[in-house]
Amino acid sequence: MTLVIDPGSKEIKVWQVQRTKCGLVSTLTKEPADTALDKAACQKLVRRAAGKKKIDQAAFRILFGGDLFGGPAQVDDKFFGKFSRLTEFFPFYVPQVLETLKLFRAALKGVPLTAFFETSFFLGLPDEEKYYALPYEYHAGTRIKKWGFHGILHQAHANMFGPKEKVVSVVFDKQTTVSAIAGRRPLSISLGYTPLEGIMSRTSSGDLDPGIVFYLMKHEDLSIYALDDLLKNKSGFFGMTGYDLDIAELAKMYGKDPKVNAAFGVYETHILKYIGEALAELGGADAFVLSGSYLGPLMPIVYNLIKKISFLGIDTELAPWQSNETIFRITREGSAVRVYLDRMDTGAAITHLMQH
Amino acid sequence: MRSRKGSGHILVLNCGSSSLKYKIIAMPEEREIVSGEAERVGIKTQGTASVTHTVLGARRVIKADLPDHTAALKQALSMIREDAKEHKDVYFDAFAHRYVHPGRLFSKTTLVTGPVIKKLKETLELAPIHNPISFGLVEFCDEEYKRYPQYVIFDTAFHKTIPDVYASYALPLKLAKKYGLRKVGFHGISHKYVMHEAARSLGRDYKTQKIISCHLGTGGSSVCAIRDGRSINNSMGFTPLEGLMMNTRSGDLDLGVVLYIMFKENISPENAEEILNKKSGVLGVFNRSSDLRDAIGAMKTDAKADMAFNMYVKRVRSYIGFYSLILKKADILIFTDSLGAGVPVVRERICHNLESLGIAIDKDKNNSYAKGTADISLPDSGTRILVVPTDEEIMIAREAHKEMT
Amino acid sequence: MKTLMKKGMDGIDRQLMRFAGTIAEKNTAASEVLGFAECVYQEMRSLGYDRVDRDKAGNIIGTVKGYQSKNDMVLITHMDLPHSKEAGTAQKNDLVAYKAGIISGIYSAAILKRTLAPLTGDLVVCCVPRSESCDHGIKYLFENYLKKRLSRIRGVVLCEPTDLNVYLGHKGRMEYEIVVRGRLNRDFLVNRGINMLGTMFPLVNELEKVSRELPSDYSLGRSNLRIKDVRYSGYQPQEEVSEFKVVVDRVFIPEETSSSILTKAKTIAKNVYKGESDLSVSTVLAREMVKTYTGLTVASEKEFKPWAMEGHQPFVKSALEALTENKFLSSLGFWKKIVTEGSYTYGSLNIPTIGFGAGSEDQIESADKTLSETQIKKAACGLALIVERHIGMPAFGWSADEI
Repeated sequence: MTLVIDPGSKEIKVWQVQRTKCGLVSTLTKEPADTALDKAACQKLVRRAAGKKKIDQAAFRILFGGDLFGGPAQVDDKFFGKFSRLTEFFPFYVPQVLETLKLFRAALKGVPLTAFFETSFFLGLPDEEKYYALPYEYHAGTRIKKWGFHGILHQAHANMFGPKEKVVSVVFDKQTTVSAIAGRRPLSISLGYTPLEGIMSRTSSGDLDPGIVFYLMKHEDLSIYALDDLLKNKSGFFGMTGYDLDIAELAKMYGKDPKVNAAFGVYETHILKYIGEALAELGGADAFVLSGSYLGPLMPIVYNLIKKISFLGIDTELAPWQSNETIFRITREGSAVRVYLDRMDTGAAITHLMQH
Repeated sequence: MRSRKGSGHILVLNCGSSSLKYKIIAMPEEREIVSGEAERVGIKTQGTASVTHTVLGARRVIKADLPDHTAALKQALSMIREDAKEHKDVYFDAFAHRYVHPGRLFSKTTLVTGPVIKKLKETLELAPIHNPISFGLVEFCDEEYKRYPQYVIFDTAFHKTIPDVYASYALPLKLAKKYGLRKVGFHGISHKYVMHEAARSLGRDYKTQKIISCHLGTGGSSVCAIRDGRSINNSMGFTPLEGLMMNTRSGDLDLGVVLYIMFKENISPENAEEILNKKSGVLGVFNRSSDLRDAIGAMKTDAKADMAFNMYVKRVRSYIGFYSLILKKADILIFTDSLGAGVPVVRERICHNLESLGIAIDKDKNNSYAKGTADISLPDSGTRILVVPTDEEIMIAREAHKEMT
Repeated sequence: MKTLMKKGMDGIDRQLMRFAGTIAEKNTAASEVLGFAECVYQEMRSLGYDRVDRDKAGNIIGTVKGYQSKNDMVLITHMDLPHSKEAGTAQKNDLVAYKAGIISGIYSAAILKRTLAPLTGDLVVCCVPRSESCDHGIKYLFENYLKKRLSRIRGVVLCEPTDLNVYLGHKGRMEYEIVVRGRLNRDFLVNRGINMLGTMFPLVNELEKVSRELPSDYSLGRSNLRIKDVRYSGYQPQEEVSEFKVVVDRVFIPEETSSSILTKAKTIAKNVYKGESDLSVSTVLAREMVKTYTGLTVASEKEFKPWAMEGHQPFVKSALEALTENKFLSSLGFWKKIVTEGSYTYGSLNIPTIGFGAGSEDQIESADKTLSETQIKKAACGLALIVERHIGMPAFGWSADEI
């Protein structure tokens, strides 16, 4: 049995993943991370999540690996020193996670531990995708480049296909990301250095004309911190609709509220922009894989999206698309482009990657 | 006024930051009577300013001190007066100005009146280089040539038809409304012109065509999606900073990067804007020149040149992919302006491997393209790929003429 | 950001209230000051400061180490030590201003430590002893413990009452003595007796006149002159040489300096005693031999320089933005009544300095000396926000909610 831990700053998720005849089955245990986790609480959480089963191996889902982690890493003594070097890039994440990881390491003595990063997959992006058209000194000095996100799921999707296939992988989660994959390697990713590049989310604006930043700073007399707060906490669906609701809740209002419709319209446009980019990069797609924890709640929007791009040669079964399988095809035999829905969660995805 | 009813000679004025292009075009025939360009206007460095002036085919160059665009216009007008003595065809009935960014205040070609001038004055900061120059000329013409009607033709007007779903940003509603923060789009005059030209050359009704137009210049570049004869998307946004990588503009980039650099280097918003507008793009990546043609020349040996070219091409391809999706494959793909019409390798690399979107370029036709409007696509290409040299002045004259009659 | 700070506070607010209760009961009278200092020292240690030190002048210094070593921030809180001659005037059961400053200063660093926000330099929180007119504590601190850090200090925040606004300075205060020596009994009404008084009166009168014509500063207020004391020796008229001293408590503004005031006072005195060739006049800045509670004896001049930062200075601007962007209704202001260690940190050392704290300076003299614990907690959060703005590591684009 594999234990997969996601040490988030708001809540800690632990998946218990078992290999069964039907594939990987995962059970999720959650623990709010508001109160500082201590040794005893951590051990209790591990016991609760594992049940009575023996833990063969454990893995951590870490959001950022920066330049230092191009793949999964052993969580040993050297790991902590290396990981803490990323503090400067992710100061809001690395210090907290370091503490949590140390506690879990103590609670899981004797169990081999591996860290998986959501950014590792994208260290392989081509240079012209990775870098920004800024003066040369800003690349060299700051190493600023696209980090990408959701690498774990995108990589799992890459592995589903052969080395010659061209895949567009979409993850619908708190962030939505689109990646073009060819020969199991990423050619593009929608999320850049931060979520301020890419597809809008609940409170983040996503792609925006850079000129607007300077315009607003001047006319509203905002400091960079205030503007940052505006773009990442007060924009997105929240900014456009005024409703401080989860995207899944907003999806229920789709079709009924004009502001919600307008917001989903822009959301769809952003997604189309990146699918378009992916198609140009790939020279056409053989398959699409759609996944993520919000795939279910966003199904009406996903359905519209597929309809809009069906002219590419996508012939789907009649909706609603249901199956008992975790990953299943929704296009008919003979459809020029295949489309899959993948309901694998992060725990299962990581376990899957561990087996390869 | 010496023209017959329904026709007129229009003096078109098209300003660049250090140049002034002018043409007298006889409408409705669209015949060029006079054409000229004043160069190095307002530049104090090496080389004196000069005006290259062509009258009915005869060309002459005059060196003159041109401290600003008004001086350039005065010079041009005096040369026109000279020529008018010898050629009866050299005269004009109206002025037509290209005006880059009117914000929310104007959305179509407008006859200049007192109230219009007042309103235009409020738009100066929207395009801090171009607007004040054009405005200066409008004022000059209003004072010195009051009896001639003048028209302002806006670079943004063509994009008025971009629907909300493509024009909106995911910003707080109140703020977006307060400042009209939505995609405005630019190069409208050029995109509209090449749309008409392309359809005409294929013998098709422009209102039935789905068109992707790439205005790729050594200055700004933008891609436009056109359907039913209307613009439905443009890669530039509220400002010309959005969209493609350009000669000195960064184009799309992560705003977290902008904020981080402002923090780390302690740069003011004005300076940061200057960096993104004047020091980024091809110049930023290639480092030696802002002209993509120079990078192309150095590509084989210089890694930065190669990177600049690849980045430039990739971004144009991304927008072609995006607009292909929203148009559901284009009927026509247009390349125009100095890079689009002038550099075959740019077109070739952009169109590479886009057969899945219906775009199949004919390499030989592409390489042997010389001038005029030409089809460079393979016969079985679903999308016709056309090279169309832009002619903003004709478009401006058409717009003014439409208003005059 | 503010929610992050509140989160950091939520875990330790019980501890803060306990500390507040403890410290309210203690005072800094000579017999009890050691206990007070120990209480502060232990609290810093229990809150997990990376280092807590004490120096010979009685300064208590707690350090929270940064992830990097670029620029430091220094918070100054102070202990009011009553003058040894005064009995320990009751400060019991009161959360008087300086105590509130100590609590909010110490806890602001604790909040930052709990949020795990990495800093680009160290945060140094100091509790500095101050006895009435002497800044011996802060001087010793910067001349010794903090000397090596001087070039790295980004700025100083004084944890003094500002009603949660950002204060930029105050008037100066000095004590000086005009010493008149000589044969004072000649030509005066010998048989009348009290010659000293007679001799002294013209000077006092003149000083009173001067006090009514002092300049004022637009932001800081009016200068002031008050005769604090008159002392004489050699009372017997038969003695050859006697002297009297007029001790002046002078509040002054930046356009006046202590040396110009002394010069002016000397001139005034000389004028008063123009005819008296036997009298010599001198002026001197008052000094005090301060014996710190740690046993060190320091000669300290009784002067607090006036100082005023300006609103456009980056340190001020960033601090105010850090507060107002997080829903504090702070504005800029100046103290009108009290003096602070800013006289030294900005007045002498030119280190950017501002003040921020709960309560107002008026409360120090009013009957109601208590400060609500809510205000103190707010002050702690505000201080943490100011520090974070200057030496925190910002993360643009990423929102903790969205990952």
